Amino acid sequence: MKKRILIMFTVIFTMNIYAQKTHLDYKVHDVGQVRQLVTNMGTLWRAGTDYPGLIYSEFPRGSFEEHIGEGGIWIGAINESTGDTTVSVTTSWNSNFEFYPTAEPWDSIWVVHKNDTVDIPYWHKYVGISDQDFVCRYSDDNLSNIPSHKPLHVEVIQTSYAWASPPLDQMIVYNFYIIPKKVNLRKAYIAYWLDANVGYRGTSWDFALDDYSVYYKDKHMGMGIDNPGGADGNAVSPIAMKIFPPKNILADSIRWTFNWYPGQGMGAPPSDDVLRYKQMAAGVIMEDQQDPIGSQFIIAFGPFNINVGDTLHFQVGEILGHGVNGVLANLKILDWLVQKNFKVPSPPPVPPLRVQTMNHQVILSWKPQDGDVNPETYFDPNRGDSVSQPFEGYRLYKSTQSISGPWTLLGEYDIANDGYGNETGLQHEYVDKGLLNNFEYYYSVTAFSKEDKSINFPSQESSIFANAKTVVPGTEPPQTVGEVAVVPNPYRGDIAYYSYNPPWEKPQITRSTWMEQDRRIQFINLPANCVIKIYSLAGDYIFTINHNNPNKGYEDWNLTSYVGQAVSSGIYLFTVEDLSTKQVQVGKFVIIK
Amino acid sequence: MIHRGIIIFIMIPLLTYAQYQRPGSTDAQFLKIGVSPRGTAMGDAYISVVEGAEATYYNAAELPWIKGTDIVFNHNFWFAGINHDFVAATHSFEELGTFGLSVTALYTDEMKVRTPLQPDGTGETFYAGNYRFGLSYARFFTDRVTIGATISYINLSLYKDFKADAVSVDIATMYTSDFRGFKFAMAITNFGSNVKFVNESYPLPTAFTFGASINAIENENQKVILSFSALKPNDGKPLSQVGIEWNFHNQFFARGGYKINYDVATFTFGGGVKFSISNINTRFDYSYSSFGLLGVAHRIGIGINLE
Repeated sequence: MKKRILIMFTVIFTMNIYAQKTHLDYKVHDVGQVRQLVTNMGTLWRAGTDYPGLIYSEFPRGSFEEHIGEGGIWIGAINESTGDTTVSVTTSWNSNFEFYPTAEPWDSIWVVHKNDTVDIPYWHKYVGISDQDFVCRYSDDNLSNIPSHKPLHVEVIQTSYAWASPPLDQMIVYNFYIIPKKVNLRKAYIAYWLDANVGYRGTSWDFALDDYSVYYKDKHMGMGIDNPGGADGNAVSPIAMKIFPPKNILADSIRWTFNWYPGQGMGAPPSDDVLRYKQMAAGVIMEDQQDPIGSQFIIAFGPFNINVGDTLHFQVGEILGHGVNGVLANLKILDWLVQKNFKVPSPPPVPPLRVQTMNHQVILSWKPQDGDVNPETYFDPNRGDSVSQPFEGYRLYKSTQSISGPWTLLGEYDIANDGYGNETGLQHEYVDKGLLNNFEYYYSVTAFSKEDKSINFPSQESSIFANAKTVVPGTEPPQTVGEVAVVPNPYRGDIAYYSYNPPWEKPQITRSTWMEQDRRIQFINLPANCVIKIYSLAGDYIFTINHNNPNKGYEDWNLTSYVGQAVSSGIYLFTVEDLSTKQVQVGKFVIIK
Repeated sequence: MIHRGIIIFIMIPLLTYAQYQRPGSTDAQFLKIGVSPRGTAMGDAYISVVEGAEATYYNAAELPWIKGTDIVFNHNFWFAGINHDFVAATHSFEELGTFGLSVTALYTDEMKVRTPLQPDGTGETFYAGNYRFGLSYARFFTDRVTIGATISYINLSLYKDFKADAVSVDIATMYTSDFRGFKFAMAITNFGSNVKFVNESYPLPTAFTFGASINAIENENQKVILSFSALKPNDGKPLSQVGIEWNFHNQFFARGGYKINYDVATFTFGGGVKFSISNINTRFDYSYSSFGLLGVAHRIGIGINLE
């Protein structure tokens, strides 16, 4: 662990020096039930990017259950020019990061939706396959100052797929295109390295120290499983990685290796390239891990001879589910999906949702208008039946907790008298009344399709999350200052404001526990353009809030000073200066904690 | 004098480099608001200038110099409908020393109770108040050095069922010279227990203050006092103040001051009159203090002295 920390520090230090030579990027797959981080360094964890979150692979969505500590490929080969045996590593224990994008601004992670066409400089006319494709590129020779690194001069184009609807929303698919640029690769082996950390992501690392590794030989799938109990309780899902080897190579000629490492000082990937290559090429399937002290493994396959100008293409499926049986059920679906080359029915386009806020109510409208993508007329070439317009209906959802749910179905409206769905009839507007002003509410409208009875594929629903909107009912900003007030007054530390439904206070999205900085008082009846300054009773300056929004008449404050420290109980003064009229209102409020 | 100079010399770097800011981190902030119209007119550079019963608030070490009985009533029109009052009385007991009683009261006007579910008001109203009851004692240490202390009970009432209290001590000392009325004073104020309402406990706004004053002009008809003071609060950067008072025939007074390094407080000014009715010496004072966007604080006071 010390060595790992030292390497990490070295890498981060190096990163800061040579940051101008690479354009790091990250994106999170978030349309389905898996929230998965992807970077353009080829890793499934933050690596050298500035991704601010704590969880890299969350399933079920919003559960704070983590599954990945590290994930990424290794490419080992004999460099035909030099005769060296080297391994280029995206991520691993005992290794530097060796794959980076270029510094070009477009060398980031491209987001492409199903059937959209985009012109990526290294992939012209790329067509989206899934509901959310990510496309990126990295190579092992973009940075020349990586310690102990001998590049193979290999470029990797990576695409990843995520789907919004069952039965595909519990998996991610990764495509890897391995492209030698300068030297031919001899006896190349690919390894997928997964450091599985399965369990509720609390504040310590204990959740990662009770996992174990299992391999399904006939499926070429490794699984990291959480041992029940322990610091992280019982995990909903293990995490599995399945390799789909290159299609144009005889299966018999591929040698497979499954090697797991217990960690905790009892075994880790070697730092030496030759030793690492030997492990990748060993052709040994280790027995499943028995002691649940940590799950880290590689699935390696090869050998391949890849010449300059050739491309080696393989796929990796990341599979989650409810328990091992859930993963195995999803694996069947994934196999079928890959066999069909991902040509499966898709959900309708996301409906155009328009929201109008009023005093204590919200009007939601989703009737397609000119210029909108119309889900009611979409055509799906991948259906097995002959239905030319597979749109069936809409569903309206509401949440009072967060834009990630949990969602309550407010209404379902489908085409009447067509033999599918509930025959409720279509509707395009909904008025939600009796709401609290200045509280956040969340709404989403989805469109769903008819089920495909020919291939027995369920109705597909567009992503709730892709269309989710935050709505705050309330009144228009007043003309100027004079009626500005503070809510709640007095602010009472004995009331659990976070237990309101909808909550008045809530933890930041990256946490599940309320903390001092989540406190909230609100200045209401603010004019459109004003500055609020908060002072202690004696006139010490505490904080400034700038407000410039003609549609919103309030601002929040979390009871911390401009140095980020919690303020004490007592009487506070505030001024609100209307920047349009220069009028100033002076007021007061009380905080009790 | 040498020792005093050394103390000042040691103090200067301490005050200069103590820049740690913690705004809003102490409770009972009303203890930081000046109560005297004369003192605030001089920018609160008042620790060595203070006379009369106001010494119970600013510098108890001044009390032994008061003859007989002194009583003061001050009112401060603070911001946003907040009222701030100070009442004090002192009496000199020949051999025993001088005692003083003081009451500081700060209270709001009526406020609407607002909750997230009823932001326009629940129909209920409330008041918040902060109170301080002080007992002061001082005596001569030598014929030029006096020492004094005030022990205070502080009561904070923010809402029904939400009250807190604390006990604090102020300790002060002052040196008075024969040279042009030069005075030097030091004080530690509001040293005491923490304040807790629900779950969180916060300290009082303790400060170390020192200051000096001198009669720059002194003749038969008029006197001009220049004063300076500096303080290091426990919740912010060092602050200092300068003040000036012009005295005409010991009847008419004009004053000005400036507050240095404050967030919003800047210049101050005021005036006063003093006269005698039936052997009762009476004084009226007024001050104007500028606080930027918060507005202006006006203070008025009346004091009497019975020898």
